[in-house]
Amino acid sequence: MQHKYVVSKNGFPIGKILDHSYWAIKRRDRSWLCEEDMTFDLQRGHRRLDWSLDIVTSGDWRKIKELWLFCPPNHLNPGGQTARLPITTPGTAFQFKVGQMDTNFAQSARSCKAQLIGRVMDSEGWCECMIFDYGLDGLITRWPNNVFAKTFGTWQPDIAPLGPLRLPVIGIFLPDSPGEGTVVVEADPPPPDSHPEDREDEYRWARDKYVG
Amino acid sequence: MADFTTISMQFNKGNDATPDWTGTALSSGGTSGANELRFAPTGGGQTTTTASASWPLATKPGSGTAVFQELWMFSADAVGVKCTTYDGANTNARVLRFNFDALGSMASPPQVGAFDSTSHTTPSPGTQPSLINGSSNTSNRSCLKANFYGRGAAASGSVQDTPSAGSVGSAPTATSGTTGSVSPAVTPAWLTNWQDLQGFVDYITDAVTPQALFAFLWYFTLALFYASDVSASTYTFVITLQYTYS
Repeated sequence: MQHKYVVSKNGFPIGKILDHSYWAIKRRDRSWLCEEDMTFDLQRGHRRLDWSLDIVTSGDWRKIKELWLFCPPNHLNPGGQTARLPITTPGTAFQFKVGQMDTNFAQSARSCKAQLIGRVMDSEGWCECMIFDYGLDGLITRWPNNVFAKTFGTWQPDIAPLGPLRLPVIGIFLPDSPGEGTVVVEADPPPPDSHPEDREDEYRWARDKYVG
Repeated sequence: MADFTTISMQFNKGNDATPDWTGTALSSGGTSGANELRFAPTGGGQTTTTASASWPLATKPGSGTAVFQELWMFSADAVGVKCTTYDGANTNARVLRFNFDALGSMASPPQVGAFDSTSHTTPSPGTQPSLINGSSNTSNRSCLKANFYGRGAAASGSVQDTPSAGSVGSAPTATSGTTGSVSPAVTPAWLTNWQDLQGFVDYITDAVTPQALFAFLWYFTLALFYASDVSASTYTFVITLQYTYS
């Protein structure tokens, strides 16, 4: 029996293991798009799909049925982990990366430190995130947070606590929302952990631990 | 949101009233003395052609602290230009700046800290040898102090925050710094009190997320102190800019 591959609309084999993480979306018509698909615009020329430019701005955020994160091989999983978030409400899926640039005092480098996908689970902004962290070399699963938080926080000390998120830029469109940067979330961040896959339920913190 | 194609750091080789930023963008990467920022005390003998390995030593003060009064930029091992407005104090406003192109969109406010190396080991305040960890004489604050102006760019409206020439907040001291993150005023304005850059323990966060797809400059200045109780060593460290994008 011939094995079939799932390919994106532009022909990229979804789930292919790469040396870096990448997002993919399954749309409601069962077609796929992913970060490895190529496109073209007059300003940037040939480039990979961009979440903000090609998913958010285009309106494709309305069509997302599933949001995936495919992770590179790492010490926990030589095949790379896979994260999947079902999206039942349009405007609740989001994605972004954390970059750092070390400016020159004899050394310098610019790098992606982590890639995060998430979904908002209610109108108050509570969300769960899946994070591939290059420094921790693994996937952090179901990190709970609130997209309206004044400080979105961090999951490890090598990454500064993120400030309030620009919601329309990352694809969050929620009616009757509290608004960007309005919610105070008081919770201990998850400890640095080199074995995120072992923490299946550790991040399922009770809602009443948070102050909204 | 898209990542930036180019983020560079520039220095002023003119004066505070009439800055000259041309050709000063420091590229990332480089070894063997290329693309380096180098501090020095006045009178150390450093010139525009001093190689990295020959960079003059700074003598520690017999007691207390001192500040490096000169900052140089080297595009190659022995090809350097002096940052003329850096003096280790709060005298001048147009000293350094981050230059962001118009191709990026941030998802949250950027932050700036400093580490001993690109390994980003979490600082241990007071532990020597390290300028970033500081010492007793610096109240275990980082020896590297920074001040940033405003937002860089407003969240919307294509507004660039550019400082006027003149002093920058209160004069920095070796013990300057506030635990955690501080943000410059959106007025826009400089921080009243300089912040020490110690990993992401003591650091600076922009007060807003700068406008997407808008080229902008985020002005800042530095002061690097050294103390009698800092271990004698050759120190290299990095200033780290953190930002989010898609």
